[in-house]
Amino acid sequence: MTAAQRAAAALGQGGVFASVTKAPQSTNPGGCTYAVKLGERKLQTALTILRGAGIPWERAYRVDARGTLREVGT
Amino acid sequence: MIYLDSAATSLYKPPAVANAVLHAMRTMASPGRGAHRPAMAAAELCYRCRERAARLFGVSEPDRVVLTFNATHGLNIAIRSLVPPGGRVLVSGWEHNAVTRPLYALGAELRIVKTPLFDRTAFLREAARLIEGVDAVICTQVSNVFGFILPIEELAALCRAREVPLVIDASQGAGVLPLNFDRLGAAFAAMPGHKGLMGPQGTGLLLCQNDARPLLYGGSGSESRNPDMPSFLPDRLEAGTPNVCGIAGLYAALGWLLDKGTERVRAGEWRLLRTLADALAATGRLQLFDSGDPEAQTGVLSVIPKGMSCDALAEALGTQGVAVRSGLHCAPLAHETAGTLDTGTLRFSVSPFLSGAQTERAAAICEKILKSA
Repeated sequence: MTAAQRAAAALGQGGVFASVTKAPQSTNPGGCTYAVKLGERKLQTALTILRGAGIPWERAYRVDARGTLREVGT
Repeated sequence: MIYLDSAATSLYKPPAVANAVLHAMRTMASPGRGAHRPAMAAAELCYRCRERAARLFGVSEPDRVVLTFNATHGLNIAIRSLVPPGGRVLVSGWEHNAVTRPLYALGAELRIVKTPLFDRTAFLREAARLIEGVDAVICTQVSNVFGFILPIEELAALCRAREVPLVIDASQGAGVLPLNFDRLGAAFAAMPGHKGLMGPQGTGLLLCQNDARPLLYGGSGSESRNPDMPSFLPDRLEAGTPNVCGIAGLYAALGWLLDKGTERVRAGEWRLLRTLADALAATGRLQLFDSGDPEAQTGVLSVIPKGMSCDALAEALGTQGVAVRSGLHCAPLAHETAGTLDTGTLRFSVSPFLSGAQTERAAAICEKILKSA
C-alpha cells in the first residue's frame, strides 16, 4: 500500500489527481494489493511522472462502469 | 509536579498529540485492512507519518520508514538482520540493554569501546582500533544515563570506509540532535516515539537503508497468498495491526518538531540543564557528571549524592513532587564503563515543556533534602 501511496503522492505533486484504492482480486493472484486510480486521459502523463520519480508499476487497467477490467498497454 | 524524567518518557507533549490520538480512536480503523473510509484514513495517516519522519531524518523514500512499537522492537529487527549467531559486534561502552540483551541472546562476541565519559576523541580512536573483522557496529547516539553525545557522524564515516554496517540507537538523540540518515549511510536507525519525538508510548521508527529480516510474521494487508512476509518495505517488517492511535499522536508530534526545529529544542534544553547543574553543584553535596560542553552532552544529568543513596534521594524528591529516576536505567554497561555500577546514579532529564523556574525549584528541594539527611 505504501508504494501506491507514494505513487499517488508523486502524481499529486505532478498535477495528476490519483486516489489509492484496493486492487480487485483478479488483478493480483498473489493476494491483497493496492492501486492508484486516475482518469484515463491522464494515464500517459501519469506514467511519465512515475518514470521520472523512479516509482515502478506493474500493470494498468481500464475499469468500465460495471467494474469490468481490461488491461491497457503502458 | 516538576517532571525531570523525560529521558524515560516525555510526559508533557504538544497539545495536538492527545487530540490526534482521540481523533484516530474515533474515526480510524486499520491500514491495509479494507478500502472503506476508516481503513483508508488510517492508511493515509500512516503514510503521512512516514513522510514526516523521512523529512525530519533525511530519508529519501518514505517506504524505508518502518513503524515499530518502540526502539527495542526496531533494534531487535536490525540486530537480527545483521548479526549472525556468534557474530562479532563492536558496541560503545554506553549501550542500553535494548542493544546488549539481543546481542547476548545471539551469543555475539562483543568488542566494547570503553573510553572516558565525554571524551569523543578517545572513543573514535578506540573504535578505529577495534573495528577490524566485525559483522556490525551498533552505537547509541546519546547515552541514556549521562547524556554523552557519541560522535556518530565520525563513526559512520569510519564504518563506510571499512564497509561495516552501522546501527544507530537514536533513542535519546531523536528530536534533540540532527540525524541525516541517508547521508550517514547507516544500515538502520531505531528510535522510540515517546521520548524526544514527543509522541505516545507504544510507537517507534526504524529507518532502513536496504533490506531487513522480519522479526514478526503475520498479516500485512498485502500479498496474502505469499507464505512468507512480503519482500518489500515497509510491509516486510510490519506484521500485525499497527498502533494507529499512537501513530496519529506521533504524526502530530513530528509536525510540532518540524515546526520548532531540533536546534531550538536542543538549545532550550541546554539552557535548562545549565540552570539545574549549576544550582545542584552549588549544594556541594552531589557528585555531578557534567561535561559543561553542549557538544558533548544533551539535557540529561546524572548525579550521585554524598551521604545518601540515589534511591533514597529519588524517593524523597518524588514525595515532594519532583519526578526523577534512580538506579541503572537499564544500562549496566554504561555504569560499568563510568565506574558507577555499584551505586547507580540519580538522573535528571529536561524537556522543552519545563521552565527555568521549575528547574531552580527542583534544585532547591534537592538541596533541602540533602541538608536534612
